[in-house]
Amino acid sequence: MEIIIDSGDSVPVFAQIIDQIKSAVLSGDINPGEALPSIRQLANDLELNHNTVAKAYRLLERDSVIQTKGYRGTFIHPDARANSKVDINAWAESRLNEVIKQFRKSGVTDSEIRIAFRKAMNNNNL
Amino acid sequence: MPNDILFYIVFLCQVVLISYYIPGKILERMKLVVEKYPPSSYPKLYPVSIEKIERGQRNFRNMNAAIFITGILLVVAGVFTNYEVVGDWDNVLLNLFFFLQFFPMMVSEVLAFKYYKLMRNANSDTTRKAELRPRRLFDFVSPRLFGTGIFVYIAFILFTFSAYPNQFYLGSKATNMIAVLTCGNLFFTAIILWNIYGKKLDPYQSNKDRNRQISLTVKSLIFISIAATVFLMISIIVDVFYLDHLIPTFLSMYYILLAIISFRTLIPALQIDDTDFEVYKEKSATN
Repeated sequence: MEIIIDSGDSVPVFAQIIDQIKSAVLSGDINPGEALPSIRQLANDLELNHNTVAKAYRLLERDSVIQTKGYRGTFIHPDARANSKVDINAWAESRLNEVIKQFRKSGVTDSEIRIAFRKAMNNNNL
Repeated sequence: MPNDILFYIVFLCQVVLISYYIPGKILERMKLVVEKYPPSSYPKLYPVSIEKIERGQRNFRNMNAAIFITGILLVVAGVFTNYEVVGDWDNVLLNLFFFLQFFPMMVSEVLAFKYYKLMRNANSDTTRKAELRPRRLFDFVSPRLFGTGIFVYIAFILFTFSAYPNQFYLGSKATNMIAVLTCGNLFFTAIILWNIYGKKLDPYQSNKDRNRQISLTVKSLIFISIAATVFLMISIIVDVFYLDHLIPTFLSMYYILLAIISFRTLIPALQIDDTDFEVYKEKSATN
C-alpha cells in the first residue's frame, strides 16, 4: 500500500496524509492492528518536514484512527474503520454554520461575528 | 621461498580482481545503461551531460589501469629480485596498496552522492510516494545471518581473551583489537540504520529497487563484519603460534575475500534488467 502526496496541491500535505490513511482503512487496504511507518521514516520517504508527518499522526491519533504504542511503533486502531468515517472538520464546520446562522438571525453583523470569533480564539481560558 | 610464491600468487589475484576484473564489470554496466537507456529517452537519469559521464568513466578506468600496472610491476619486481615478504613493513605496504586499489571506488561513491544530489535538485515534480508499512531490519536480512554476525563477534571477544589471558585491561593488545572491531561494527550499524531509515538518495527510484538495494547493503556489511572478525581471529592464531611470515598472505587473501563479498552483493545491482528504469522517463510519475 502506497501513499502519494502532492506538495503543489492546495490541500495541506498533513491533510493529504490523513485522508489517504483514512481511505486506506475504509477500503481495507490497511487493517486494524497493522503497523504504520515511523514518523521519521515517512517524513524521509516523502521528503517532508518531520513536524508535518507528526501533525498528521497526532490528528489521526486524536480521531482514534491510529494508536502509538511507545517504542513498538504506530498501529491502526482497532476501531479505525468506524472512526475513519467521522469527519471532525465537517462536524466543526456544520456547528459553526449553525451558530453563525443564529447570530445573523439575531441581527449581529458579520464584522461583529468576526471580532467575537477572534476574541474567542485568543481566549486562553477556553 | 614457498611462502613467498604463495604470497605472490595471492597478491596477483588481488591485483587482478580488485583493479582489473571488478572495475571492468562496473564499466561494462555503465556502458550498457547508457546504450539501453539513453539521455534522449530517459532524461531524468542524466542530470549532467553525457560527456561529463564519459569523462568520469575514463578517469575511473585510467586510475584502475594505473594501479593494476603498478601491482603487476610489484609482483614482477618481487619475483625477479627474490624479495622475501616477511616484515611488518610489508604488511604496511600491503595495506597501503589495498587502500590505493580501493581509492577509485571511494571516489566513485563520493561522486555518486553528488550525482544523486543533482538528480534531487533537478526533480521538479511535486508528488512523492511512500510505502505505508514500516521498514524493519529483518525485512532485509535473515535473523540467522544477523545472529551469525553477533555470534562471531561474541566468539571473537571470548577467543581473544583466551588467547591473551592476562590482557583484560585498557590499552592491551586484546582490548585494542576488540575496540577496533567494535568501532567497525558500530560504523556498519550506523550505515545500515541510515540505509533503512534515512532519506532516499535517488528521488525517482522505485520502492522495490530501493528495498533490494537496502537488502544488498545490509547483507554485504554483515558479511564484511564476519570476514573482518574471522581475519582478526586468524591473525591472533598467527601471532600466538609465531607464524608472522604468513600474515602478508593472509592479509592479501582477506582483501580478496572483502572484494568478492562486496562484488557478490553488487552483482544483482549490476543486473540492469531487474531495475525499473521507466521512472527516469520524462512523463512517468516520480516516487
